[in-house]
Amino acid sequence: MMNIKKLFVSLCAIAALTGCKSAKRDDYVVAKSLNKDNAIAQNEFKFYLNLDNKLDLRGEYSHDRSVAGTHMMYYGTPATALAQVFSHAAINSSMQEKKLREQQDQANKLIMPLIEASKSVTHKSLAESKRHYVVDHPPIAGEKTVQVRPIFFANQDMKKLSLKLVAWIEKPKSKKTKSRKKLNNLMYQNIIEVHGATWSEELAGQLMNGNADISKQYDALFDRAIESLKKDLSGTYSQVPQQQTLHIKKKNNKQFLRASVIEHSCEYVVIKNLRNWILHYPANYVTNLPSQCDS
Amino acid sequence: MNSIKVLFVAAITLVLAACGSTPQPPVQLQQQLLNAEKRVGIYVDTIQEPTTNIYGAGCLLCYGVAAAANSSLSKHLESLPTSDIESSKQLLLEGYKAKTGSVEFIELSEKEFKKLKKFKGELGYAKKDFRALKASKNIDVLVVLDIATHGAYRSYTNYVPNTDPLGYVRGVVYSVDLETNQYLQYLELDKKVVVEGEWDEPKQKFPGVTNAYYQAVEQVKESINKIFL
Repeated sequence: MMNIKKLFVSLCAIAALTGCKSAKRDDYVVAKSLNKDNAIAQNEFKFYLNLDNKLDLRGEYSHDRSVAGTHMMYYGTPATALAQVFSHAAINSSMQEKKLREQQDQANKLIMPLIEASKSVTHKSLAESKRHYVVDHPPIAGEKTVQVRPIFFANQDMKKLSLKLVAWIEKPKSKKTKSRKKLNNLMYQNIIEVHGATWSEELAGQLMNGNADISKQYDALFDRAIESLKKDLSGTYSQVPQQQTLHIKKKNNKQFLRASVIEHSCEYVVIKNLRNWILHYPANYVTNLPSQCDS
Repeated sequence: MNSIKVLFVAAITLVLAACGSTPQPPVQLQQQLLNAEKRVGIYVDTIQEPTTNIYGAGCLLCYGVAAAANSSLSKHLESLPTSDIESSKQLLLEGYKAKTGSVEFIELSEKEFKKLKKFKGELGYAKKDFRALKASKNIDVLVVLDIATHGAYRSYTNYVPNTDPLGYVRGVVYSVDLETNQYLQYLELDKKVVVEGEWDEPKQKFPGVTNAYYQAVEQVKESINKIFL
């Protein structure tokens, strides 16, 4: 009898603790490739961007949710001990989420001057040069129009921008299921991430003072992401070469990334990471690939 | 009765205090002691498959629950090839080749390793007496790479995780002068890398944790390369 109780407690605890997962964020999606038969030819590409939304600019933040362990003595019957394990898990989980939120808030505070300087940039201004691709109404489920949501990030120095473009296409209504999982009702979903080059001191100063057009910086990233999205939807990136570990130059150190290189030019390296997201880095930031520039 | 208790506690305290030893601080490679005549043997201990390393789950049942909760991650990590971490031995080979004339990998069986006596030296000396290998392996310097564990690290307090899984590699790399048993170089490797964004993606084969693991592997390789700078 005692053994059955112990087993029950263990099973409940396992079920509860596998639930201690990281919370889903809006700059994260599970990639879903477009079926070959549904590929969208590049000349048929259309996207929908909510032009009324403001520019979403955030500070780059640390993803570390580690917290110091809070010790708790479990006591009593298996049921009361289990209740205590649940509360312990809930306390820890909320502490982890609080830490992450605070890191994001702190990072946003640090880039306030850049947010101020970027007030002229809107979804409307971003879509301006891509007007021929933009549809002005949200697509009806089944239309092969891709919906996009751009989220820009700036580093703490306010000298480098990156963009995460979340893109998705809904399934036709007839093929939608009652599943609560959003992914099951999507034909396509992915993130196109574009990293800009670091601004020089001079350019950063000019952009902050309004002496240089800051919207061009955002446009360049957005345009690159849209062009890449077009390629992804048309099946250009369907062949994925072997993975390798890439060395990416960061401010004072290196970042390593396991990915497959899908495009490599003198200006940019385009890679598919293990999540199948498509990432663009300025070519000179990837230090362990040979240069493609003519010397 | 009380005095017996006090005596007992005092004895235990003394025993436990004696158990604590000062950890070996890092030793920069003593390049001046290496030259073209030195014969270097590199021994790489068997590298196990990567897995999830759980720390802080302080009771047997807690550990069981934690291991079960992370079983799909462990299963995935165990399916990853060890070739990336194993390639760090090539970095050692190339690094020493640039400093000395003769470098080769050597084999040491578990029996041979166990046979080595303890060496009672101060800090700066190897804990095992490797000097016998000078004659038996025909080398002047022994280099050891020991990757104790790798994969993911997750810290717990009893049943409850305090961290998301981190990419993880822990080990040690050192070289010993077989004349004196003194360290010519000593570096502990302990790399933990935070997963960017979500970690719990079993259907996608844990891409976040996998990437963090490869980042940790690459950081270890960087550390090994820096030995020779």
